[in-house]
Amino acid sequence: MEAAVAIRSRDEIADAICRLTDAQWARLRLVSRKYAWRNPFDADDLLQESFQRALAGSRQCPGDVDVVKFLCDAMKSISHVESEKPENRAKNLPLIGPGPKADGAIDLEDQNAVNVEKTLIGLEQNEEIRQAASALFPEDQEARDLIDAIAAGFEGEELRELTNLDEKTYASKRRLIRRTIDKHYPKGWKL
Amino acid sequence: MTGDDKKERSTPDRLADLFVEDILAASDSEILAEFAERHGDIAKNAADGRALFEKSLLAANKAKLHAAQAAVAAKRFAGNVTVFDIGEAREKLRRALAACPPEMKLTLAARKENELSDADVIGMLEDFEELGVLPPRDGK
Repeated sequence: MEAAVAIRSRDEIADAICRLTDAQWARLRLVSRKYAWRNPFDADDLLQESFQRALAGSRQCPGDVDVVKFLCDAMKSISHVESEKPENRAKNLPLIGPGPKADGAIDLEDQNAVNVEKTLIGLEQNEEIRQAASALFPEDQEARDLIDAIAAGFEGEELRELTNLDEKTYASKRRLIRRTIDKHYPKGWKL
Repeated sequence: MTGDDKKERSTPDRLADLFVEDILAASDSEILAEFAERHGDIAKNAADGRALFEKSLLAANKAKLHAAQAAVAAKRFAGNVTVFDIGEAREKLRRALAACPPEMKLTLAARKENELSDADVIGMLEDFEELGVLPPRDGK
C-alpha cells in the first residue's frame, strides 16, 4: 500500500512561490502566455488566478509535486473552463432570440440544436487550426504527423509511440513545432 | 485527466499542452535564453511575477482576515442572542413589578407593563437581572 502524500499547506505553497528562481518565473510566464492564447483574459490574469486558487486552497498541491508544475496545471484547468464558457463561445454562433425560427438559424430554446452547432463550429475551428499549423511544415512529414496526432486527441507518450520517434527526436520536434508556431502566431490563433 | 476531458479538449488546447510540456522539459539555461530573446529582461519578469504574487497574497490574507472577523462576530452574536417568548417575558415583568419592594423607585410608565414595547420589556428584565431583583437567566 502506498504511503499517503502530504498536501502542501497554504504557507508552504506561498513560501515555495516566494523562493522561485528567475528561470522558474520565466517558465511560468511562458506557460501563462500559452494558456491565455485563446481566452479573453491576459497572461497576468491567468497567472494571478492560479496563485489565488492555490492560496485559497481550492486547488491542493501534493508535497511531491513541483510548485511550478502545480501552477501550470491550475492555469491549464482555468483556461479550459474559461474557454468553454458560453459567453466565450457564443460569439462564434449565429444565434437568434427565442421566437419563430428563421431559415438556417439556431433557436436558443432548442438546446440540442445549439449543442450540435457548437460541436460543428468546434470541429471546423479545430480543423482550421490543424491545417494552419501543418502548413508551417511543408517539408517536414514528422512534424505534420505529430500535429495530426495531436489534433486526433493523442498526447504524451502515445504521441511519441504513434509517430515512431525516439525520445530525443520527439523532444526536438516538439520544440521545433512550438517555436515555429510561436513565431507565426505570437498572439495566438488569429486565423 | 479523465477520458471525457481528453475528448473535449480542442486542437488549440492540445497544442498548448504540448508546448507547456516542452517548456517544462527545457533546461533552465534554455528557458532563460529563450525568454531573454523573445520577451526581454529576465530579472524584471521575476520581479513582476513576485509583485503579482504579493498582490494575490495580500488579497488572500485580507479575505482570510475578513472571514476570521466574520466568524468571531457570528460567534459573539450567537452567544448574545437569547430567544424570548414575549408573553412569558411580560408575565415575568408583571410578577417582578408586583413583587418590587416599595423602596425601589419605578416610573409610572414602568409600572404599566401593558404600555411598554417588547424591546422595553426585555430591556427592563435585563435591568432587573443586573440589579439582582430577578435571578439571571440560564447561560447569562
